[in-house]
Amino acid sequence: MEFKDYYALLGIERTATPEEIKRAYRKLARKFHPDVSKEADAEARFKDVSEAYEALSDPEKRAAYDEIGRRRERGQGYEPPPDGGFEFSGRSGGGPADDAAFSDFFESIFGHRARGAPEPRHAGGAAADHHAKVQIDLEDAYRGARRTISLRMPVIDEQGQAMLHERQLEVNIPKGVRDGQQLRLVGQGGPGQGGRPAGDLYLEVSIRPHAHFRLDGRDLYLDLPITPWEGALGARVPVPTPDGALELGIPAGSWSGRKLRLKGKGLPGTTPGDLYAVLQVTAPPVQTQADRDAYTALAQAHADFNPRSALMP
Amino acid sequence: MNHTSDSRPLIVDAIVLDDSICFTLDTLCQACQSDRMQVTTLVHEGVLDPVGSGPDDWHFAGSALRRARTALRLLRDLELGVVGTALVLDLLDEIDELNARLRRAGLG
Repeated sequence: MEFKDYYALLGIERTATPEEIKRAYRKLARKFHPDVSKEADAEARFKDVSEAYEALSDPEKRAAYDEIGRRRERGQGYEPPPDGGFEFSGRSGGGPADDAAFSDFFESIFGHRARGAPEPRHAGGAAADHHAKVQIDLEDAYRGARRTISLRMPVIDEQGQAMLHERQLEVNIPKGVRDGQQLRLVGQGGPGQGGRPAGDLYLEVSIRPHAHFRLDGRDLYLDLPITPWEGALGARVPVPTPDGALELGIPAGSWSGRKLRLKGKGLPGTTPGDLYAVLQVTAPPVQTQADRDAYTALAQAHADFNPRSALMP
Repeated sequence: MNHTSDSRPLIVDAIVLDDSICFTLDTLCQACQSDRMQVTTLVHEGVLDPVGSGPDDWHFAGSALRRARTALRLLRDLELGVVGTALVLDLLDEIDELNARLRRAGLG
């Protein structure tokens, strides 16, 4: 098992005071918190930082961790202590990242139940609702999809030992789901106590970025290249949609930036979204004498046209 | 830790939490693993905006779950306080709107 240098993760010396540890944690937590950070690896970095803080902010845990560090420096390597190895007073600090699993390294020292995950505090002993994430493609949001998700949940067996129970669900995702929306899977959360029904599982949906379409709520945007003559004279051109190609009428006199709306061709729903084709006029390159002659003829036909007249009247 | 696993996956229909789905104060507390006092504080600070005359009559739109969970994570992980959390959420909303404008313009 790989040794994790919690001091390095927080960017502090081994002699750091509790105040220095807290200051370093808060600074990094603000930088990498997944709700506010745009860093690519924010979630993983935040877990590392939270784990380091959980270990170093508690004097008992820090002492145990430092002892392992000293053994390692003496060349004794790091071996996970059998059955936790250290005893802790069971402080439950309500620390960060209660729904983020800490590393095997952390749990090998402090045990699975040592971290400060708060128990659900709702009244009445109701079963816990659980949360997970699922990523889908834009086409899945259009047509609906079935996705297999794997869930790992710690459970306590009859001997009081913590076990990791793994199960798979095949989830029917309805069409029309939007990025960031939550899905509810009734009865798939924590088991109910004393005959009460099981909790629900909530899945947060994220839709993968698409090579051509941009999502804005239920609306879709597509940059649609057209030729100068299609824009000038009008044309009917094929347009891709996540649900297959359509034909779009380009009105004569259309130029770059004009938005043409395909009503109801965005994400489906009670009020379906629209698809906007944003026109991008693309001129052919000059590669042959015939190309040069064509542009020359165009220039001669529009000798009086000055696109910079507003700049230099 | 030992592992166990189920052999056959279960097929489950998902329900989209759009604004036709409502939470009461208690079901929202259960869904975000919080308590009535904390969620009520978020309402009083304007982070959540239920319909109804008082806590026992409040109805929260389905989209409130995501906002409540984000608020609770910020409160807990960054030790912000409710006023600071409300401000951060407003700023995050503004960033989302600016990013949406960039996407619409093909710049995002």
